[in-house]
Amino acid sequence: MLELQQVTKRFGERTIIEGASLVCGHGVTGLIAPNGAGKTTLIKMLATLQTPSEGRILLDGEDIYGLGEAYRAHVGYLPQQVGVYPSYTPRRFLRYVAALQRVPRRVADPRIGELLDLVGLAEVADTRMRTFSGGMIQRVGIAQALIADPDILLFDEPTAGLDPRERARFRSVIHGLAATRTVILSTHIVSDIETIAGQIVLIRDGQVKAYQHASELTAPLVGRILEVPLDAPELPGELRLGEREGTAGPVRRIALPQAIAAGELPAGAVASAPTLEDAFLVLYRDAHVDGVDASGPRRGAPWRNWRGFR
Amino acid sequence: MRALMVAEFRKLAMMPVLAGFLALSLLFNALIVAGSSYLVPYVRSAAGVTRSFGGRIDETMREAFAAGATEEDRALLGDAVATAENIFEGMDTAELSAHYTAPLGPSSLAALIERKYQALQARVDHLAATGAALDLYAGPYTHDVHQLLFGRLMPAVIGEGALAGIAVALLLQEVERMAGTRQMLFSSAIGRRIMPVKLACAAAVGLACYVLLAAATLGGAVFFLGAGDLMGANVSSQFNFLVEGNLIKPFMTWGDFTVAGYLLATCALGAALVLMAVVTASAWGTLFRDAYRTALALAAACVSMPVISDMAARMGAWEMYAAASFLPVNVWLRAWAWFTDQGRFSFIPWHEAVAVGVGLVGVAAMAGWSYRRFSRRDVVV
Repeated sequence: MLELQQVTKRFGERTIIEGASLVCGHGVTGLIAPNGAGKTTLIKMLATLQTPSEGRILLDGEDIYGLGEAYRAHVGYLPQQVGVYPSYTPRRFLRYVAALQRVPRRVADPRIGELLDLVGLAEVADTRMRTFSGGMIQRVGIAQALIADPDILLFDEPTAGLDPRERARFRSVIHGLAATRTVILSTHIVSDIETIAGQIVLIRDGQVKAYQHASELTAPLVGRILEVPLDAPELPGELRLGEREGTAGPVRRIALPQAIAAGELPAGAVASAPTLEDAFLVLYRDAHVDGVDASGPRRGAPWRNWRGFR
Repeated sequence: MRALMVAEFRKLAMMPVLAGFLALSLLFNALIVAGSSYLVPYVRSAAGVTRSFGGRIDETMREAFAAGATEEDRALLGDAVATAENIFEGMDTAELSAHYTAPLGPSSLAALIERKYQALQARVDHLAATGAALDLYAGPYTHDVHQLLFGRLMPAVIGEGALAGIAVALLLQEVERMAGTRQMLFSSAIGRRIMPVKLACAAAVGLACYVLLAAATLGGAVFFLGAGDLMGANVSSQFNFLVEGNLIKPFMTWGDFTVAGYLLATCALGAALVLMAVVTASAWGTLFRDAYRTALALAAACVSMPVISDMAARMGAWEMYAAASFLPVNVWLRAWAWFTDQGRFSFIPWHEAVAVGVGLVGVAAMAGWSYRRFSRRDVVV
């Protein structure tokens, strides 16, 4: 079991993570926040690439920095930017990573074959990677994270560059692995974790908060999510979540400060079940999220955050 | 660990710049040798005489030479064979001591230098007893030949080997930044302890480059000059000498060296200097975490060493001058006089060997400290 105890990380005067306390057991922990919130910093501390300014990170009660190699040998890490040696083939690269992880050659070679099958690169196992696309490099990165059959998997933006089929496949693989492993998956793409994450961790203004299930985040939004025609008048206190093309024309998805009964819906409005993405956009309404300004108009009733983030 | 070393070697194979550098170095060294082609007839004459009559000028050799030497050999070596004498007989090193200590005044440094020349007197007496001065070596052109091999080619080879080693040490660190593999590497089980593996690889490749350069350059020079038969001559032959300003003095070494033995000894010391350069580059590269900054820092350090030495001498700051004489670049710059008394530059026998030995221990400690520090620092992508 991985445990963060009052972990703080500062870079000079800037505090990125403050007083984070978190427990991660078997299963998928989804770490979700906008870009620049501190997800990668947290993942890097778990990967021992950065050391906490304060606090400790423990594995089964022992400090991971004190454990050193004994900890890292059980960790598979997929960084946000996967780097490879362009003149290497995937097979050679994975053999090298296996050597770094002290996996014996007789164990590594068959495992490399399995992993290349798993990530769909078996046919190019002996092709130099200088010709690979970004998605193929990403899949090599996923394979290298799994080479030592680690107990702890740290994935930082793992689906970047993957097409929808590959992303779905990745989610299935991770979900299967997570039954007996601790998987921490950092992403700003909500759909990456919506269906596979048990614990969900949000980071805002350096504060880290864990939710044991997505329903903890979506339940307070029941009755508050509507889809209204795009040109309909603005409702008091509405927070715009996005736009889409509805069956009867363009609509905007909004969140209201209070739940609204079915009989009191404005004309043309349709109630919608809240999603994790809705919760994410509501929570980070002051942040610029993936090109969507989630701050919304600040008029009408003051917006009240129900989870303590202000 | 072997697999990791092999992997590091493979990373170097991805970078052909090293082979290019070695080729250019060999070309440069060949030009130096070619520029001394005027020595060939004199060396070959001395080699022929040595083969025919032995390398020691004595009455037996003089008679044999007079009877059997060719016209060319008599023209090139006749005076040398006829007038050679045991210059170390009756030599008093106190004169040298007085010359070098005069500017220092009464000081602990002057006392050390005096003690050094007292020790050298014992060596001079030994050289006189063994008749080392009577070895022909390369006759009248011995100084030119010796300085070609040990005053120009050997420093060039050492410098080139050191540069190759530094380049390899920095490339092996920089390759991870260029490939974007730092995070994968340092989060693995091996983690930051890959740095000593990289150092070991850099040291092996740097020394291999040095050995290749030394063998090709010095071996090629000896072959080109036809000096193979002169390898058994004593380097303290009367025809070998050192020039320091307006002072010309014999080539007096702290141990008995044939030319071959002196070659091996200087190669060994040169290898130690190359190793020092590699370890320093690795240590500083780990501290600075940027190959370009490290290279600039190394360049600045290398330039500063002789500057410090020169300024100290000009200011009469002899203690600083003595300390600066232990700096590796200053040791390298005096390769032309290794294992000799070295005048005011050294105050102990075997100064260059002691300096390099102490330096190796120092840079090894620095490397250990830099790796330990790195183990606690954040990895910069």
